[in-house]
Amino acid sequence: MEDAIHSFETALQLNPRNAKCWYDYALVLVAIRRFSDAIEALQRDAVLEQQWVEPHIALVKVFLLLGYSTSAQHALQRAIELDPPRRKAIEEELHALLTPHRAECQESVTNQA
Amino acid sequence: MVELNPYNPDAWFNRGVVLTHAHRLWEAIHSFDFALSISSTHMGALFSKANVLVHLGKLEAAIECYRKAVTLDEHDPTIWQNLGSAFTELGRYHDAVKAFTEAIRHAPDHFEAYVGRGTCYDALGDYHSALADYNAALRIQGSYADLWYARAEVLVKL
Repeated sequence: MEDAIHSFETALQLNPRNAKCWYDYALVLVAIRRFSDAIEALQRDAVLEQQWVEPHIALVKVFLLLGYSTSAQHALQRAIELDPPRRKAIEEELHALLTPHRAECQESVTNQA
Repeated sequence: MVELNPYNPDAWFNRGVVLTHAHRLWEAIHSFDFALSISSTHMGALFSKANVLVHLGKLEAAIECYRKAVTLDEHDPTIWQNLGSAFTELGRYHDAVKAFTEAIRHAPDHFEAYVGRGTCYDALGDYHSALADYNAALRIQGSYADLWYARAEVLVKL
């Protein structure tokens, strides 16, 4: 996986504006549990491609894995703001991960509606 | 020029090239066909017609032209490369691999052929071969961001 990380990083040095590359890079960082680097990559991604919902959904997952429920709520709110018709799908996608924090996140979704 | 000498295949070919640049693609094909009707082995007309057909999305017809072109000059890696790309567009990855391999055989430093073949191997699920080709391409040209990205994606799948 280190070689893959090196390859992503070289790609991003050469073209830091490739949002999809930042996203895929972040997913690999999550897989190897480099969460803070993954958050940084996803946040850069979210700035680059401001209307793209996927980095925000990934951020929700990472924040929940780390137990940062407030940050997860903010990311979830942003995801729903960006793609309201996908609200149900986003909720379903996050269901398994949300279980321990469900009440808090559900509240956030309800407030958003 | 074609009016002065309507039997000159080069004149029709050149007319086709100008029409291609003017994006009058069907008229360009018509001119290339005239050139080929006068000289069926006119490589320029055959190759250019194939390229225009690709632009028009007529990939099967383009492949037929590229195939004729490689029978005329099997040592030209660019024809093999373009043939491979047309096969790739059609999802005919095995055929594309063969064409790109020919391009590489005739030009061992052919960057695009390694990238093209690597992409096909990737699509076929042969990630080790894809990685080998991406590595070969990056040794030739190491500053191609998308290729580093493709390489990373293949490494994740391995």
